[in-house]
Amino acid sequence: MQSTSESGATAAVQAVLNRLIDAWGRQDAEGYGALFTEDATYISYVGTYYQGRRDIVESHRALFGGFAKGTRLADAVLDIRFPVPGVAVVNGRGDTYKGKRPERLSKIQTYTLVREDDGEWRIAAFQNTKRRPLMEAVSYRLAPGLVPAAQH
Amino acid sequence: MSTDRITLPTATPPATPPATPTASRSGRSRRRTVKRALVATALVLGLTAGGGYLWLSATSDVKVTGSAACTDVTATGPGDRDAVCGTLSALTSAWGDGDADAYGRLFTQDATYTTYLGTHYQGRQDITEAHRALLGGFLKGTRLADSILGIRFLGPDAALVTSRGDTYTGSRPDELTKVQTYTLVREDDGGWRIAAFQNTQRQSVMEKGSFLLAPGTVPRAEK
Repeated sequence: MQSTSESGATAAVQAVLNRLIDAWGRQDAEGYGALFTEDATYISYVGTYYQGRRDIVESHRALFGGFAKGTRLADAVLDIRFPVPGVAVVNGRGDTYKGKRPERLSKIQTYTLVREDDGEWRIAAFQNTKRRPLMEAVSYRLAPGLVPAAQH
Repeated sequence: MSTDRITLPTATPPATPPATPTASRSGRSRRRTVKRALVATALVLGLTAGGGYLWLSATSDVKVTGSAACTDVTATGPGDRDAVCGTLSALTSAWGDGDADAYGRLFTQDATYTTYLGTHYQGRQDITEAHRALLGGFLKGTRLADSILGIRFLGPDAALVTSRGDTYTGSRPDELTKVQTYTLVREDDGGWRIAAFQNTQRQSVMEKGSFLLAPGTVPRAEK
């Protein structure tokens, strides 16, 4: 059972993720970057390491004008936790798409959010990894102990 | 390099022998010309692709490599950096000792752990059992190398650590091919434990390709 303050915080964190999706859909790099802390880090699924809001804004400006032009962001939240008050960890699956929202989301993310002095929750760290289902399946076959408990 | 491209056009012999020796000779020399042209094309394509790949790969080194000594890194925010570094160093030791239980104890009870293959583990027990399988199997006898990119305290009881890392046997590799984010918290007993971890393998050639096609995607520190 969540306390009232925690369920309020869950809603606030969820709202940040929704604004992230909206900003991506509008291809609004400034709006996207405003959801991160000034010193946020952002690790892309290619393994590129971005440091700070400006880095995140500028790279997304380039993406929205190029590779990710006209795309939308899909995500499915796996869980939201508050390991200490004022800090949230969100795990999600996600993908970019055009047209119909894909059923299967090929990437997986960890977001760490912090409630800043102005009371707003912002993303302090983000990391994205593209799933490699074939390699994963082979590793499960060779070492069954690697299968996560949730998939037993 | 592809050889099937070369053999395909000559794979089917003529069903009937050519009527005259002259026709046979010219047919054979035409086939030889085609074959030579295909070999040359395949060579050029192969060398271009291979050379391009090597060039992309060779020019894709990162500038921001971090620090192998955690305690050399200046942390931002209010918190006990050395205690956080202690947890990371215990993690490296537990890995080197092949000790899955000691490794798992450095995570919070409800920690999440996302591997570079995108496998998602939930909770200390999941993390411990997976590492028991890894440290007794694929990664038996390996060591963990890491290099700290940054340490930030979100408050006195929460920290973010970013790093590059890799597993290895023998001598420590110069280039660490994966990138990590750790979210650590200080729990009620005063111990710093990892609440969330994610690992991503750098796709250096893909990264370089995107930097070339969209220079705006290059991080400031890599310019």
